[in-house]
Amino acid sequence: MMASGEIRLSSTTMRRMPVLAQSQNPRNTGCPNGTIAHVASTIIQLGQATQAAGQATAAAGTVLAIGGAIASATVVGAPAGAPTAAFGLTAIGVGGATTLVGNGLQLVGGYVMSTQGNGQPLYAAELQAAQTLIETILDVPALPIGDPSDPLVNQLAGQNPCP
Amino acid sequence: MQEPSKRFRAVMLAIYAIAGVALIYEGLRTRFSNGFFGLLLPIASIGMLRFLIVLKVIELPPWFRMGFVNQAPKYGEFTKAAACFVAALLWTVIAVRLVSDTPLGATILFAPPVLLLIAMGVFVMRALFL
Repeated sequence: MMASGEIRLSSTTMRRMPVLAQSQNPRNTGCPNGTIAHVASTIIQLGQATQAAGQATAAAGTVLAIGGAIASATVVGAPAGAPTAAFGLTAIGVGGATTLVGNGLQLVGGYVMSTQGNGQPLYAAELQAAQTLIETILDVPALPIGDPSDPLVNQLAGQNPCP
Repeated sequence: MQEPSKRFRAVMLAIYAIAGVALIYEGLRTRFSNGFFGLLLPIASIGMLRFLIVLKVIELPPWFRMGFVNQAPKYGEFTKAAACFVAALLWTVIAVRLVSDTPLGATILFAPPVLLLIAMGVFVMRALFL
């Protein structure tokens, strides 16, 4: 009798288990070396830094925009409220554009890295680009409280096996 | 759109004040950064901001013009930005198969897409602010 919770494999899967155990994750087949791989790695890091700077700018802009709007609407004769809100909205736009450039750099670097043998950076960049796209469509601004979809994206992307 | 009356303005601000207090209370009990509230709160914040701008409860400075906020974005500039992005990816896909693994090859491979992506960022900003 089978115990509760036990997973029963088919006879075909059981026969192929030794082969499956030897197979590697096709996304992470090795750590590339060479000039192009080094430059690609630098481009990926530059893209990550650019994306982080863009997200921080947009987050600061969101706080300024909402703070300025509240000051403008509630405090009678608050002359700095409207310009602060306008400055914050500008920072949201600039931050959003910078984030897109960072995403693009990671995609370019990640694609080249995948042709050299390490597919993890491209996979991570694709997930982040999808996250940015979905949040742009949903009109989710960056806020300094943390993005609720970050843990999922990080878990799906996994760790880069190469230094 | 007409200037909102003082009464309308007071009602709108009272609604937002009650919503704000409710959110702060909920935030003290749970964590906003995780789950559904973490996604809903920022959407609601920008939605509130736009609503107040459209109703003229908040008046932005007359010199301020931004796409999606108080004017239509320039879709032509967005098209140029998208073209730059596609061109950068296409160049990368094609050039990586042609160049050699040398400093010159890396320059030929990476310089055009990096410049195209910077141009994409400039076009996105032009679409929003010009």
